[in-house]
Amino acid sequence: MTPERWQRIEELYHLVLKQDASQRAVFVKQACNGDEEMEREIESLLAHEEPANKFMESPGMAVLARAMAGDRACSMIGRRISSYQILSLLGAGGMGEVYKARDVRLGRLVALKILRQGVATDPEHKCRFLQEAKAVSALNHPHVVTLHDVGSAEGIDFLVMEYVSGETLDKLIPNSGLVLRQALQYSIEIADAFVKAHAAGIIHRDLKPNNIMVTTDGAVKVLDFGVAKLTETLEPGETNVTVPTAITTGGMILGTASYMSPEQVEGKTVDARSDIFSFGAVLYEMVTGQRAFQGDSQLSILTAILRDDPKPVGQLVDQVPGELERIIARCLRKSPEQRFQTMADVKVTIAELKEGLDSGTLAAVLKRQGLRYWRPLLTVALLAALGAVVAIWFLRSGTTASEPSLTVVPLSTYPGFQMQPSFSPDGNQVAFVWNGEKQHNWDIYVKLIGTGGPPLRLTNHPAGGHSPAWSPDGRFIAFLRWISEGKCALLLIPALGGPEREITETSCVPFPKLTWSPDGSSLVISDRDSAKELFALYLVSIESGERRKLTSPSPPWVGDISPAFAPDGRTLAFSRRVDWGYRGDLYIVPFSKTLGPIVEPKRITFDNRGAIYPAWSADGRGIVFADSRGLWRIAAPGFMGKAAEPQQLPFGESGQDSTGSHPDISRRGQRLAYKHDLIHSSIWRIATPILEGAPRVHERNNPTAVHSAHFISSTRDDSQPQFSPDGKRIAFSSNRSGNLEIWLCDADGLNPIQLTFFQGAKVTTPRWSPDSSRIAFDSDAEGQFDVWVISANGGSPQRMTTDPANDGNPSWSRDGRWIYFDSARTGEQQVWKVSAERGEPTQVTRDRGWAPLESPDGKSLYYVKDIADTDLWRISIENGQPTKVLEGLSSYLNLAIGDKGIYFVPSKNASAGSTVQFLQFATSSIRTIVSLEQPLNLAEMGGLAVSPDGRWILYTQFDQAGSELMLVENFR
Amino acid sequence: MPSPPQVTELLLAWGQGQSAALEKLIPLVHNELKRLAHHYMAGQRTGHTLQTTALVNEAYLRLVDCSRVRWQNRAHFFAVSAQLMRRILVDFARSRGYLKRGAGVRPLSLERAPDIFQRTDPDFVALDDALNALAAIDPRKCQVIELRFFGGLTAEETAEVLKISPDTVLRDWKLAKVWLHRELNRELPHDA
Repeated sequence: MTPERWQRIEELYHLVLKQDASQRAVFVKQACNGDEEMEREIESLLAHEEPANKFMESPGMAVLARAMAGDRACSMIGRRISSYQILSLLGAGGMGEVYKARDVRLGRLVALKILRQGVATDPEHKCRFLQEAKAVSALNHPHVVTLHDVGSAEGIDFLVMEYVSGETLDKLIPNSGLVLRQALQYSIEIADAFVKAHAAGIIHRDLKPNNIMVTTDGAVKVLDFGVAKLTETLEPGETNVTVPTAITTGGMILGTASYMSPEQVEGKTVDARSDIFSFGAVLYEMVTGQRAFQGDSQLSILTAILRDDPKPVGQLVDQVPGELERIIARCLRKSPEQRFQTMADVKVTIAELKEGLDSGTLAAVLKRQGLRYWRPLLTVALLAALGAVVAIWFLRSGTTASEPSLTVVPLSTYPGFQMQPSFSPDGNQVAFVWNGEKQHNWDIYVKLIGTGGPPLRLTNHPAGGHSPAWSPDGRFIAFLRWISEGKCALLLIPALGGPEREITETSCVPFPKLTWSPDGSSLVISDRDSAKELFALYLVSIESGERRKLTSPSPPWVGDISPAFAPDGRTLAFSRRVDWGYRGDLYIVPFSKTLGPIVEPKRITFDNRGAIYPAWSADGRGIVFADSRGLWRIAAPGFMGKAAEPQQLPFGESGQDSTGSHPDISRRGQRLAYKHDLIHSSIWRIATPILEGAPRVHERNNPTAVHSAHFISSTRDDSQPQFSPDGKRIAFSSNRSGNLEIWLCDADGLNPIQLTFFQGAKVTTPRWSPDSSRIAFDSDAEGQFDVWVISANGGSPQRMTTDPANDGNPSWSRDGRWIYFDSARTGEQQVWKVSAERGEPTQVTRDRGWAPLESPDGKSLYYVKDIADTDLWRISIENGQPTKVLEGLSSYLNLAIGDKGIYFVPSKNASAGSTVQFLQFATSSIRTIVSLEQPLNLAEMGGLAVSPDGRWILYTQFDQAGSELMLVENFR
Repeated sequence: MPSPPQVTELLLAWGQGQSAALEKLIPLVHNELKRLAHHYMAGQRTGHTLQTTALVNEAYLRLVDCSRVRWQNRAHFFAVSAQLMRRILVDFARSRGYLKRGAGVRPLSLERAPDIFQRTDPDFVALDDALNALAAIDPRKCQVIELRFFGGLTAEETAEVLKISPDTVLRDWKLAKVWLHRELNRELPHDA
């Protein structure tokens, strides 16, 4: 065909295309005018018109690359190279693709990086490569992915690296940047890796977010240390750096050349300071979510690296500490001489910054700047790792976009437990309770919000103090102190420290809280005049200590606690309890000018979820309170008005291991503080020593010491273990299914199975029948707590008690005929018993009783008189005569009756609680049978159990227990 | 691997007849190819197709940095680099045996290509032959294919290089593809 003929064909072809499809054949015939060859030519082109549309639409390079990709990936997976079985493709980068593989010799998983460029065959190159590899593989650090091996087989050269499961940092940085605290934590870990590597003379040369893994545990691991250099030895005659791989987002080209140092771009020799530059670029991106150096093309990025200073981070993100801005800028200086000179300096500087942040210094600085700082945390992994800083935009009705956002920052993050925050009137300081650096004493501390360093310790007394309440004039802090069993003192101490003054003595009440009358003349406390009465609210004069009863609860309630005065000084909010566990509601009561009673208290919550710790908003229009699910806010109803629906606050929510409680709201400054629990309890096991022998001490350095070990444990709370009488199984409570249920496991702690499925109701206190066939427990499935029984083989549980009062803490008589329990059905907590075959319960104790347990001979019953009582009593079943058995029990929960005596954790040093004691029936003597080096950190749900053969003691303890205070800014 | 400016220098040198520059260029293009291939593999693994266009543009940009080339040289430069790409890619495909007849329809292709008549990826070796045949009767169409398919240029850029209108580029592009598709599928009945 000649070009001329082709030109005619082309002209005709385009004309034909303009015709309707139906007309085309006719048109072609006419146009070709008998030239059949031309006719065929045009027809055949027309036939390909449609299929050619999609043909060659991808550029040639892409087509070829795809073919290669398919070829390579298909061929590698399933192959065995040397002793590595290739399992799957993990990723592909500039230097080669990385596969997950199994080292069949060692049976471990590895990451196998296949090098694109084979190792040079000439001995000199090969030697250099191996030397370099040796140096890199010697680098062993928790934040460095270790190079295990280099190898060559079947013409494939590869690196064998530690296999890490996680996500690369580039995938974890949100567009708005990481939360600052997280960014700092990561950068400290990254810097730490570099300190080690640089000390070993290894320079990374290719640090970028996708060379940084964040493991599933939230730790950082830097990938490819020294690999750039390693592969460089492979490039024939080249000494230049790798232009890192590109990634694309939304069609935009983003060169990862962004992290190269200027000296790398210029092809100069690089040293550790080049890594510092790249580190700065990564830190910049972590903080801002944006690349430090951007451009439409590689060239413009490289130009930017050489020429431009990135926008200061403070211009991209609100509330970045100036110090951080300076650190980043100092890493990103063009001239290596002007940067930080060592990674160790970088690390220390950032660590200091973070410490300041953790201790709250920065929060105040940022607060003064009036800017927004904390942003929502986007990934679960980060959340788990962080657990401390979350920012939430809390939009309630009437909040306009221009109002400053609600932010949540840690207020105190000291070791141990910090709780019960109380603001100074100006909102700039907070008094709180902390069990101290050594966690040995509960004291009142004061902290100036926004300062670092340790808080001011106000009380310095072996009995410490709790429940601080700052006076309205700011001069004093009122607080409570345990002085003897069940007795507390109400004291005042100057807010700047000084001599204490006792106002009066009072009963210790569960969930203690004080509140000042706004005129500063009196305090409201919860107290009772005698142990027989219910807890009620009393107004106590600061001057005289005179008291006046304000409320008069009556059964079925067990008391009024947790008072909070409204800012108007005429209304009191408080919690009226149905029991001392989870149940109760919030009430308000108005007073006359002289604080005289006007009407009965009015209930404002109705779900019986234990609403407690009310805190009035500064304008008196709302009340924040806590329940077992978290923090809530309810509009304060006018007294005649209808109660509003509570709204859950977007912080302090109940989670797997965190619940917000103890809210306090500042009178000025729009601040709210609350306690954030970090708790996880497990069941531990310890071998009992021979009773006749001396107590053994559990010491880490003593190989003969009593060994205490995690026994039943999950990521959630496990507690209340009980051995079956046949010694074969253990029942326990656990919320590992998401709800608190009874579980069973073997005597060795293995094979846990869920026994109950109430799925929402609380199911606690499992107790075995003497024949090990049934388990009694209590549950609030029907609204109030009742006693239930279930077969140890499962099935439907049977409800044993139905009274609307709470019945709980069941236990069996030794003959299996009765189930003892405690009940408030008469208005007082008493021990009752019900036939194991059901029937009408009968009352056992007359002078109060709680948590009964029968003696081994079945002739008497052990119990305490109240949930908080520390005396153990025994009542004869025959004649109903009670006798005190022992004093100084830490809690009825930490008590187990064995065949020969009673095991208990004493209340002495209850905060340390480091012994288990044994009261021998035969001799009535008490001795310590186990003392632990570490203090027992007994869990709230608790539970002490002894195996039937007496060899093992199980106890429940908080493994990871603590509580921190959180500060909410711009709370309105 | 050298930084992009070096690639540009090499391309220019090659365009000026310094054949030794090709020696140095070939591994660079190969590297880019492998790099792209790696991305495709990663895409296959995670199940989402990468942004092909941006990715490929990136590769081309990396190889051919037009901003380094003075304006009067641009047309020449693009033409040269597209030719070069054609040569290197075809050689590469030939050496590896990729895309022999039928190979392009393997399901490994990210785009759907189930029907042989609907094949979207050409056999590079056959394509090279067909392009030579096309150049004999219509050199401009051959250039359009070279610039767009091998050189990675847009229609507008192609128009600029060839000093014709973008519409003409598109018309040429379409017909050239039809023509090539027909040429490359002539023997299909026998293969199938």
